[in-house]
Amino acid sequence: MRVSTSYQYDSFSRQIRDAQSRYVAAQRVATSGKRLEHPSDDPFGTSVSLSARAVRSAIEQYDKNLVNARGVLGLSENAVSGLNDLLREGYTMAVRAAQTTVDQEGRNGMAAQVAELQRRLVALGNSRGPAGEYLFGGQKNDVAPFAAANGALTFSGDNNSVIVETGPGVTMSISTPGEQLFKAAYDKLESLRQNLLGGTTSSTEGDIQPLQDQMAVTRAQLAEIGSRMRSVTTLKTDNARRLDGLAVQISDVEDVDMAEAIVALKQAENAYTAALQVGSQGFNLSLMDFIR
Amino acid sequence: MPGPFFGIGIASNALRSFQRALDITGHNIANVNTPGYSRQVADFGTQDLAGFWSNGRQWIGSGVGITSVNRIRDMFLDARMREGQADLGRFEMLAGSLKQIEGVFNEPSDNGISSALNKFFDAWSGLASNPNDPGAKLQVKLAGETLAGRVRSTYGELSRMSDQINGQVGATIDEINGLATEIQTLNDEIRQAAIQGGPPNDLLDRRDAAIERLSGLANVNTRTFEDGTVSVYIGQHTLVEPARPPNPLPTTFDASTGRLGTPPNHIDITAGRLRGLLDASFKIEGSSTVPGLKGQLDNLANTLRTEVNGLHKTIADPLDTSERFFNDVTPPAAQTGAIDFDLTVTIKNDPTRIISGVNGPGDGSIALKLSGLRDTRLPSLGNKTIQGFYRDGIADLGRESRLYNDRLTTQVAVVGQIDAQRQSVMGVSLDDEMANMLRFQRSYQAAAKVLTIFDQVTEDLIGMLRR
Repeated sequence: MRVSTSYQYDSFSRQIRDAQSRYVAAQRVATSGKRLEHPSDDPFGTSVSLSARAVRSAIEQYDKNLVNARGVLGLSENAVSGLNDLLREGYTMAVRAAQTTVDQEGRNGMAAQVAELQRRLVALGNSRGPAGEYLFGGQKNDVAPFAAANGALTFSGDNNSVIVETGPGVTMSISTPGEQLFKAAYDKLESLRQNLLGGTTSSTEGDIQPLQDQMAVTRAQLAEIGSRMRSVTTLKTDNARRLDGLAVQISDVEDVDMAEAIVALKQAENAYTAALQVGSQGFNLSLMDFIR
Repeated sequence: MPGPFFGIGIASNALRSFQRALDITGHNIANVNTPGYSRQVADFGTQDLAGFWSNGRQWIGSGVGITSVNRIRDMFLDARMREGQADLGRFEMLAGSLKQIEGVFNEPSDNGISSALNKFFDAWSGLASNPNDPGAKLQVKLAGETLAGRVRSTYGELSRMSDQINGQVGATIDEINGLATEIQTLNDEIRQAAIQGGPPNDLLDRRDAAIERLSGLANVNTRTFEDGTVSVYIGQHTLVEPARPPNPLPTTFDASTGRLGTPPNHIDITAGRLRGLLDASFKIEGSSTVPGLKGQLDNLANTLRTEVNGLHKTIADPLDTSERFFNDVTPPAAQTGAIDFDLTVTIKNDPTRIISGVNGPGDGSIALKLSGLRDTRLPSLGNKTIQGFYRDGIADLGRESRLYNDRLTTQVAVVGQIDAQRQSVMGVSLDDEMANMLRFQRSYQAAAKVLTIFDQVTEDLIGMLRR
């Protein structure tokens, strides 16, 4: 083939240009560590990456929701366990009052202590969660749900559940239905107080069993909260595992294999060096040099 | 009958011819780097015969002359080069535009619409799970604003690109018309020169270079006449015709078809940079050009408005608009798309107006439904989820961009190959020219020698007479 001078130079500069652009591209891949910078780098991979990112983002949010759930459940657990303690104190008092050695003065003192227990009970029923919400008010949780008046507890919340989203379309109730729990406990203590003030040994004896029963109800509720706490832990572990998996999946699509990238960079560098060397030496020959 | 100085005539003809040939060699060397230059060669030919009597009439040659100066060029390769340039121009423009569009969308990253959609639904999930927290509502508001802002700014970027492309369409048409005038002028000069004799090679080269530049801009056809002039056509439009004033390309175009001119005098632009621009700006086989993607963003924005506002309400009256999350028109007016997509002023000013549920402040049921919207397949999006719809659009864009980038790479190689073949024919080789230079130098020296000999012979003759 006949080779024209300008073609010789053009093809030389084109080869250098190509080698250089490959070198720079390899350099960019190696320094950024990214295989996928634009959708056109890997259209299918882009789709995979965007899906995985969406899932990852959602799981991260579900995980945050679970943190919130744990906070609410923890505080609820404290409150219900406090309620259980109150009932135990009431129960202890009922047992003591049932002994004949206690005179009326002593019983009056006990009644005052029970009244104090009731005040603490109301305060527990009006416990607040991390966002200032009333834990036992159901969904109407912006005002204190419990108030004591005339020896009875009134409830102004509702019995709807407060939920957290733990997965796509999956929810978990984090509220503890408070109305029955606290009202019944309050009533039991009220009965004890009344019996202490005006009743007899045998009438306070009658308060022992209901208080015991109520403690069982409270403990069952505690167990319920505990089991939900355990689900939260399990779900969080699950999420952590899935997030790890997704991180690997996203990295597989988006990131380069460093060893491969370095090898490619080295190859591109060699090609570039060779192109430059050939170019700088290839033009030394010309008929001109042989004409005097 | 040749005279006594006949030989001197032969020698001086030869000297003149070799002098011209050296000039041509010099011209070739001088133009070794001139784009579009085709090397020229002198065709030598014997001169008229001279007759003399010797044993009857005999014929003697009268030396050498240059019969013509030609440029070395392959018309077939030229035609292929024009086709190659036409596709190259189109693919360059399309691949470039698509790459630019990819940059506008900036995916996959944490700064794209996709990530904003994720965060938006995440924020609803967060609100559903913590409806009492005013921070959760603020989060929803911020995520909504980010999403709307990204949709709007992406749309704005695409609009700006569209304007830019339209500007380039105008500039390209101007360039075409400018080249048409240039070709027209060269045509005139070529005709003038051709009347006087041989081919005006440099003018032809310049004209061909202009046609080649033109073929990178649009689908060009040419017809060459005997005097070397050409007619140039773009589609149905005669752009240049010899001895007529140029007929510029109209600057109006039909946005729906991407055709130039007004009906019924359409001009189909099927190749070249102009076609690439029209493709990017108006239509293409796929949907990943500016108008297609703007349409997708409009659809996305309108769907978000309808679906989110549809769920974000506690008042059963379908005509009530007081609880809207995203701004929207009052039906039956047509929705406005991505251009003014935003939250309602109410929500923007007071995030506590965001509705999480119906029963009380602890109710997250509505927020939960809005969080669930991310997994809902929507008929208005072709039964895809919102993110799925967007994701498919991006993947299509990526595929399209890759396709045209690959086609561009191939086309660059094709044009490079044609250029190599063409250069092999028409390009100046300094080694060739050096060899020619030596040859003509030697020939000139020999002719000079001949002249010297004739001079001596003549001198001898004159000397004989003097004696």
